[in-house]
Amino acid sequence: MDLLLSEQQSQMRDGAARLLRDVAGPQRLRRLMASGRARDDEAWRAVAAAGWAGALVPERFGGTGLGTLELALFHEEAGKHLAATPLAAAASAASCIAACGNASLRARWLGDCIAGAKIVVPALGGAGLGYGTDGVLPRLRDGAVPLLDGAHSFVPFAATADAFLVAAERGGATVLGLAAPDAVGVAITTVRNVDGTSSSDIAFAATPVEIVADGSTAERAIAAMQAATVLAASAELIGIAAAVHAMALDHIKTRRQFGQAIGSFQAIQHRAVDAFVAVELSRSLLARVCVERDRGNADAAMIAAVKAKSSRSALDVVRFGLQMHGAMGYAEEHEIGLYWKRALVLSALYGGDANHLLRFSQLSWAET
Amino acid sequence: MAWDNTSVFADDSVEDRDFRAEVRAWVLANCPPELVGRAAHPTPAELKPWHRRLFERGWIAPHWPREHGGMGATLAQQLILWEEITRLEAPTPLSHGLNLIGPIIIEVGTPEQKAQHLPRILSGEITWCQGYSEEGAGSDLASLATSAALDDDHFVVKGHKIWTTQGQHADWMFALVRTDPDAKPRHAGISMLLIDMKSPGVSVRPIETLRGDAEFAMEFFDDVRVPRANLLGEMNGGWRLANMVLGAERMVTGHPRTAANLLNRVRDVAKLTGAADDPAFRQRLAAIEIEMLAFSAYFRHGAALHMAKRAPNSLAPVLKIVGGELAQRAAELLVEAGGARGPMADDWLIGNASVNLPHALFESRRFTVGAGSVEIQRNVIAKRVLGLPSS
Repeated sequence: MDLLLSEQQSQMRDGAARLLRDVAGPQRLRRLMASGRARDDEAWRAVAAAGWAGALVPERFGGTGLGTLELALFHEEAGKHLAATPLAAAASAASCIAACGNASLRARWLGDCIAGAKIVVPALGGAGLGYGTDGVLPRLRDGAVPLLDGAHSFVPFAATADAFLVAAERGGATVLGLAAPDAVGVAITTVRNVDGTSSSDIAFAATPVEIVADGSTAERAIAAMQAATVLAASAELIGIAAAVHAMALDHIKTRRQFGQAIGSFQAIQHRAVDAFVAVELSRSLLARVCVERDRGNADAAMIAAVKAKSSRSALDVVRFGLQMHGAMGYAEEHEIGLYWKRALVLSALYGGDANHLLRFSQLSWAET
Repeated sequence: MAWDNTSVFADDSVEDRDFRAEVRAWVLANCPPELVGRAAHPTPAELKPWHRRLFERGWIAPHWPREHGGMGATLAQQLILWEEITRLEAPTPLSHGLNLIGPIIIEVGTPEQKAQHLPRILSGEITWCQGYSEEGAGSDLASLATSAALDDDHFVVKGHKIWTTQGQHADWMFALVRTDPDAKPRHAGISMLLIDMKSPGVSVRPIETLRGDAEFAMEFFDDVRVPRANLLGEMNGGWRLANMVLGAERMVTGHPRTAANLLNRVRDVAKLTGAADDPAFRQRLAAIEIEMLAFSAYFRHGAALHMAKRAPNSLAPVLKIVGGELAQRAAELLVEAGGARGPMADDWLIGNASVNLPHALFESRRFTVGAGSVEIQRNVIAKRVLGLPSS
């Protein structure tokens, strides 16, 4: 179903689709992976030049003042075009700096973040956001310069970040600090993923940080960044599912066996319908929760539901697509494999179906 | 999650919010207590007093135009009325006349047909049943064989109908009959007739369901003479009428409310049995509740598109597939939540309500079978939405 978008939202989505057709896609991804580069700088510059890096920053701070829905529209297109862009991470960090930072911090970082010249990556962790993320936050020691000890795991885009926004704990309260990757005591261990992206464990040992926010302000900022990044990853998963479904439909309409298109067989048609339904429901849920989020209504359970549903749907739809392609789906040459690999990474990122199912269950029983 | 019409993804405007509050209060005060928690098939006799109250309140036909005695309500208001009644697991008023045949009579009926039938549908004086399925014509409805041959100013109807909900209680039937045995394709030889069930030659046999009550019936037509004036729409034009899904009917068949009520009950029962403390059970419930959340979002999205006259062809079949399968899974989980007492024949007492878990499960069979099975809905999407070729 068409999303109910304003004229401006439709234009933004179409603009994102055009942009990503030019600076992303299967061939370009293969070249990037072959080059061993960690990031497609040209693609990122194009995304930033179109104003997306400041999407979540209010206009009075030089951003475009958009919401989670617009960000999700971009990321669905990113999923369709296999663009592993750090947009959601960078845009939500910029938004946090605008909302929480003091004038000096804003002056030093915000302009560069909005222009895309610098990328700040949130390192938040959090319970229930994946195996091995137990919610134990790094600890901050007070002093003339606050010092940080501890670690965050599985941080995407950390290998090329200019700074981290780190969730930490100080005397039982939550704080949010800015740390430089080359600061004292920072050790970054990066693991390459199967889709060409990477994820890092970041360890801090007496690392000096700049406090950005504390207490309930920090908690709200962390929740906002988690919501934006989780919803954006969900949107990419839905984009992948939509692209693979379209690819599979094309294939089963043209691939002939037993003298007819295989898409004429009911066994295949019903699987195609179930995949279609999975995409439709996932997209409606994502869009609705983004809208609720932008109105201030979406709770953590709803966001968990989105990640669980979109992770499951994407893996289900990709499985359908692979099956439809037969042996071709197992061949490296065919681009469907790139979508599968990206879906595997995104479905695990920030916690998968099982993690968010549990989270949803805990949150929803706690309500009653 | 507690599934209330206002707790998840509510879209009510300010006026609609007021309307919902008014309806909610009125329904609570006016719905006969013996019907609350009894959505499943009270007889027309039990239903008529409730129907009558809604009629007198002016809320009986929100989807009908004012000139025919309806409310001419917006789709949002239609849904509100429906949602606030079903929230109490109470039955909606006599639906075959109001929702199925009434709108078709309004659309294509003669002035005489409108004058004869519409006021009696509104008042609840006359109840209707739908004569579509036959023993040899279920999913393949176009193969129906009950014949209606013209004899001067009458049709002579010969054959049978089956699985007719409330057929043993209905005063009138709207029936699909074969008026051209040689038509190609077969559905081009089908007409819609309005049949008075008291006509000589009609006999009715109730059919017992798994729940032990006779919810539907089989009807035999032995050279039943039906006035030609009772042909609805054009001769051999019945197929189009049968496929006309009008107004809110599209949005209430497969409304998430059905599954929502069951899931609320699952939580009630799980708390009583201790299933609520079992992590494995909670995970399974969470999986269905997440589907429910997605479906609720899809439903509101679809309703908004429907109001903007932008609803896609896929909307109605997707609602039927997901709404039906989800409610069925919820009913299955309901019995499981009961543990060893799940299959108990007696009712459970939950608060003031008595709930029969197996009956809820048995009832859920109809969700994926009635009004076009989920397999047929998948065929429809494959062809009309995904553009897949026929074999």
